[in-house]
Amino acid sequence: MSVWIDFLIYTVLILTVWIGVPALGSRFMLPLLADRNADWPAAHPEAAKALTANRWFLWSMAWGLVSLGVLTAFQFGLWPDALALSEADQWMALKDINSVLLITGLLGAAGWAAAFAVRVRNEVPLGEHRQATLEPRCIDDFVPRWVRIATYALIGVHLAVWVVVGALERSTIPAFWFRCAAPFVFSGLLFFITRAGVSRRPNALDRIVGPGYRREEVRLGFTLLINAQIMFGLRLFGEVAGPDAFDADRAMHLGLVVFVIALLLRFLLVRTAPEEGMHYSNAGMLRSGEQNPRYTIGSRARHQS
Amino acid sequence: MDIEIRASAPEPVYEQIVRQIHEGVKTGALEPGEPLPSVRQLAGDLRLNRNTVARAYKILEDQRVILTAGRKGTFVRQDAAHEVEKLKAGHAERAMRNVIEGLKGGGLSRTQISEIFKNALRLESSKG
Repeated sequence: MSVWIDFLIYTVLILTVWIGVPALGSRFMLPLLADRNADWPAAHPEAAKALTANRWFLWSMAWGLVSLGVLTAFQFGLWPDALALSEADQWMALKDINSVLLITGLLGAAGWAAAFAVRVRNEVPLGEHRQATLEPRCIDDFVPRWVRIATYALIGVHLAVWVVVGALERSTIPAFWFRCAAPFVFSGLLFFITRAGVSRRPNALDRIVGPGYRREEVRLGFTLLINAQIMFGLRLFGEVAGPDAFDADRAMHLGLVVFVIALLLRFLLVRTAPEEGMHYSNAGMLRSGEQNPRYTIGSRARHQS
Repeated sequence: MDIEIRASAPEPVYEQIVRQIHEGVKTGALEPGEPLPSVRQLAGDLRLNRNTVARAYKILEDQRVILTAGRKGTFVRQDAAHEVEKLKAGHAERAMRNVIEGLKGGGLSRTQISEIFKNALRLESSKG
């Protein structure tokens, strides 16, 4: 498989993560403040403007351009050792460069997000009025029971196969048990994420996007769970068959990246409608013509759950 | 049904929760057998301490308005509306007795108190 395919996938990933998602996220800044205290933005317009200044989006875009520049330089042989690499080594080097850039950028973004959360907590007092539904939430409301059972069964079988392969010493690659930990860790983490999606407190995105947002979030969590089993299953196959038979690492890695891009692009479908506030463009999540309250500095719009 | 609290109101938050659930039962917004959110969910959604919501639920359970069935969850009791009416009548009776005690303490006789009460009801009825 040509390394250009890898390069194209990473390019789409960079554009999605560092330009698309921040562009969408910048529109949620004011609703996030209003979620904490619906009356505060209108009562403190200057402070709200200062908090919602979109400079972070420019930093994100800049990091995206830097990432793209580095990858492009490597791909076009502007890297000192690039021409000497075989295709097998080149795709791995490209993967590693992309991973380092992505992780570095994500760490920076996480640090900024944490600092912003602290600043909001200090500057925006918790709202006087708080509202909640008396309808209980349970995972069966979001994912059909048979899907849950089938997913958990798949996870159980998949993880059992890893253990059996290790016990029978069928892997062709050393340090098998170390690599075996990854599917267990990821499956556990994603299981927790799907549960958290059910129990977490309603936030601004629920109120802006509509009641389908939480359902979508939980279902995406389950999709990630299933996808993780497929990806790690491919890896296991590669480990048993050997690297010459099937380049599982590469297939798994690119498959995962494509899947992440698809997830992000799906959320990028949220757009702001003029005059009416935000709504999800997916049919079925909001009925057409349904309006959501719009949060604007200077108005006293109250959020509704 | 949604529940709304005011954090700085004079009425304690747990009493606001109890009162609104009473109102929901009375108006039919909460039907008999209807499930209620867990303490954890409601406390998280309202950004309250779990003990606050737990206290409200305990009061409602003692008043026989709700029933906690362990892992199955919390539900509005089948006779919750009747229990809420009884509570309301009980509160009204206590309030009335306090008024009567006060009037007796002011030197009024039972006949005078009864006459005053009848006049007050007549005036209230004439307001429409």
